[in-house]
Amino acid sequence: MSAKIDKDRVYWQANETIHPRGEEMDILANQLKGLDDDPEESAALDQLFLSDSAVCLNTATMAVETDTAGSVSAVKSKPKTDHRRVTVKFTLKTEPVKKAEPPGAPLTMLRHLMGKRSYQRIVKPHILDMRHEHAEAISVGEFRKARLIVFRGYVQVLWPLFYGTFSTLVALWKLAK
Amino acid sequence: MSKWPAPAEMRVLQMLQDKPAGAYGLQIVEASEGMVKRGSVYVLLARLEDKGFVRVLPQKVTPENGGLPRPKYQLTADGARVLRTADAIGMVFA
Repeated sequence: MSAKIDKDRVYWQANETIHPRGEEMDILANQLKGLDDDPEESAALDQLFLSDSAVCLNTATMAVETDTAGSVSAVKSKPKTDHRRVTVKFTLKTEPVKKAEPPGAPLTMLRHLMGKRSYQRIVKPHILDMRHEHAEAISVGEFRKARLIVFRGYVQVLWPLFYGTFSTLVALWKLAK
Repeated sequence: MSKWPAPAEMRVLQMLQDKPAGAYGLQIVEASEGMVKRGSVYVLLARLEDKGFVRVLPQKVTPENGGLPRPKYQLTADGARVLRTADAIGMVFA
């Protein structure tokens, strides 16, 4: 994808891919700022970015001017002759983001194991209390206490469940015996 | 099932008697000074709700409650009547 910036200039389309990082990204940004002076160029670049971002989230393409050697760092000097247009493609690599879940989120699975009414009246208030206390502890910077609150919340909810199941099984075993 | 509250349930009712605007489960636990445990407070409140001695106040999601609308419990007229009766006949739930 490309956009014409200046028809009077001689452009040379280079099929090379450059992966700008760090300073190069700053240089590209500065170059784009310089192009903003020209309304046509600005509109073309805007269209370019808008269309790119609409087509693909992770890959963007933009047009920059370089010197004969194709060095992106030369865009600052803006050589008067032998302009070339290089389509620079770069991929924004994003780290996989861990999905953030509120504390006690796995406990909500219990609603499939018990009745909706029991879950709403007994388990859910425990989870809400745990989240409330956890948020309070986090807000004052007590992260260790927050972890303990979550652990205690799990024990409070799961222990009666396991104990009840175990005692029921024992009672059934005694009856069968 | 007898409708008269069990001793543990009476303790919860007594805690709610002191909070006419309603109280959260954890507030009841703290006010009981160890007589009502965290793990059993909501079971007791659920039973009392079934018996009609306690009602759950509707809560809205507000910035004050941190977006977590915890249930708030309030004593009903029946619950207050039970407490008065227990007091009249000299029942002790310490």
